[in-house]
Amino acid sequence: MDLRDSPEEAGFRGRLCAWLKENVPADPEPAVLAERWPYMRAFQQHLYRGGWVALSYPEQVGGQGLGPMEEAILSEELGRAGAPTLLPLGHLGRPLLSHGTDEQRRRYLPPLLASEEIWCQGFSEPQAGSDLAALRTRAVRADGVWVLDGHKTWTSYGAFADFCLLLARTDPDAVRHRGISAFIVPLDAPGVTVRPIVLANGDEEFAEIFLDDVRIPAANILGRPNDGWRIAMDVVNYERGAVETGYLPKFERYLSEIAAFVKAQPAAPDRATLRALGEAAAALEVLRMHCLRTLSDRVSGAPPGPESSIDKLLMTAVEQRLTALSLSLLTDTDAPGNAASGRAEWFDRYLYGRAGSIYGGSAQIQRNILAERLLGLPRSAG
Amino acid sequence: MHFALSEDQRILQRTTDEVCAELLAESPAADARADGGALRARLWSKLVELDLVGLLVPEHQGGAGGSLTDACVVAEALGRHIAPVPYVGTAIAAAALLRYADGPEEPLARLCGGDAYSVLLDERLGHPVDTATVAFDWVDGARGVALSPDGRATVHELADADPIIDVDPLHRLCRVRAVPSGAAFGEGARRARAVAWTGAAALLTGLADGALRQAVDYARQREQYDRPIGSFQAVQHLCADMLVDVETSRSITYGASWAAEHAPIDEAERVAAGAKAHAGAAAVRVCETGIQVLGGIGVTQEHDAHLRLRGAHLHHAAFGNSDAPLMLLAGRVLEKV
Repeated sequence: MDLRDSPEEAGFRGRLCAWLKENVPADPEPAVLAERWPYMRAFQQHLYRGGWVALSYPEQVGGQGLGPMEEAILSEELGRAGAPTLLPLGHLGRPLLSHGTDEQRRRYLPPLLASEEIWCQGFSEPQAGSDLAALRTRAVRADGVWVLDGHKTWTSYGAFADFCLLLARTDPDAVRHRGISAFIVPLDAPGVTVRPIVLANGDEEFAEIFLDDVRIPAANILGRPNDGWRIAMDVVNYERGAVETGYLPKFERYLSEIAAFVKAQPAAPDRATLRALGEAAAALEVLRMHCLRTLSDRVSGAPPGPESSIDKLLMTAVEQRLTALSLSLLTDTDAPGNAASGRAEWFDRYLYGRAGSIYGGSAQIQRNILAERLLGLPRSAG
Repeated sequence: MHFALSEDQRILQRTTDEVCAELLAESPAADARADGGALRARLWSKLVELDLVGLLVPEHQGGAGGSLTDACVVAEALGRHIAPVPYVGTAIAAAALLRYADGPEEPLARLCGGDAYSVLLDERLGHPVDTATVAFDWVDGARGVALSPDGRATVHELADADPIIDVDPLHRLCRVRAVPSGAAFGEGARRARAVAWTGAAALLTGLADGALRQAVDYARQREQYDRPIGSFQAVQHLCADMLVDVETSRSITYGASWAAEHAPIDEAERVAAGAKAHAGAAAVRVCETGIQVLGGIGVTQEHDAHLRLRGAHLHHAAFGNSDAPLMLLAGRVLEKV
């Protein structure tokens, strides 16, 4: 155990802090996604030009050639600096890096990491949610192309994306998991229709993608044919981690905003309020330390595995706790006008928090994974 | 930055686990309730012999010169086995107070040799503001360690010792004649408190981990409806929630084990407070859920599950009750904005 920065890490942290001091926008993050998206994307691109994105990706593909610990420092300092939320899509470069051909990495990774081209993830389907391996979208090989037909849904940022990492069935006769392949699908290809889904909080963050006789070059398969399930599992394991998705700084900011609200009240906070704030702060400390531990495992060379389900459940719990706390504080204080002055924005965050235990594998699926794969309990019969 | 136990610490973990398993196989933890202290004494002398009691004491003061992380590895293993020894009270809390708050040297050396020193707390098991009246993790003949009004750790003979019947018979409390204690809370005392919080968090993590292992073993074997109950999702999800609590407790506790000893005092306190608050609440939840998975046997004296739950409640309450770390954290959050 040694949680001190090494001299290199300390140097990195110092340079990062200096940069953030000059470059974190002063104007607040817009509440509505339509305005928040360009704001987030602009900051992400700015951050990239500063050299602070894709830290642990190799330099040849547009990364910084650093390690997981620098990612942890970035996450910590973004939170401290009150920086805008990162685009939670950083994990989508991982499958390209691990499974892409040299040509695919050269073509797709640099613009992805620079947020010049936005990617999304085409996994879930109307009939295949928790049971992802039941997916029905088909890809058929025909003279130098793959022909795709099907229907994807719950695709995060689908309406903003240029490319989709898409799972499709390539061998209808194989056992469920075995007949799936992963594809790189340009969303401007003829036959692709993207329809935004309006979330309960009004954001159009998700989308449906319809594929009707979509022809993509044969070279757009990622990995080997029928090896898509392994790639998908890699993606979800990264997706379930808190650092890759940039959630830690976002939660730090939530807590600061809640604390600022409490402090602005004319009356001193009561014990119950302090207790709730303390619990939220403790939860963030736990998340921070758990991430450090996870990243240290990563430094030792271990890619994320089923234990990422712990991270996911933890992250979800922290988000839901923070957003619920904000609502109860806003509701319970006596200060005039609270209900009318800001609850709606927090309510939207709270509603969004409910999605955390559904996307990326529902909380129940995460528990199944932990029970069977980490605790070795007998396979469930349902 | 590097977050992982060293190879030596893994060996320490295995050694402590083996010692406990061996001694507790001869007589279970529950025996310690009425054997006149025999099991406690056997286990304690084994820990002394292995130099584990003096881990927090520097070598030049007669100790093993280990780290707080080492001591937490031991405390976690002791918790896992519900070992009836005053490790957190003596080897971690009392030792830290003597070491960090300018205590006298001789008691530190005697502590390493196995003499019992109880840390002295107030009626609510908090750090005393003016008088200390309760010896925590008390054993017969123990001396007490308290923070005196001048801010230094002092040692007291415990007069009129009057054992308290509390929730945990394996870690005893004892009412003692009031000892004047300090409100002066210097950096040394603050660090000692952070160390005590972290030590308690390690024991709590161990208690929870043991409960999880027992529940999982049982769920694999116990059959109902012609299937192991561990194949039912309702039971699986209880176990998965226990796992999340155990692993997250481990993350924050070992993070705190480094921070409490090495980080600047504000950060040391913040992380240690997070560890104590989280591991405490988590251990209580996990031990309760463990009983649920065990079913009827879990609520009898024939099983040790109740002893775990008792230990979880006692240590969750220790060193400023379960609220003190939360109040510290809330204060810090409000200060920052």
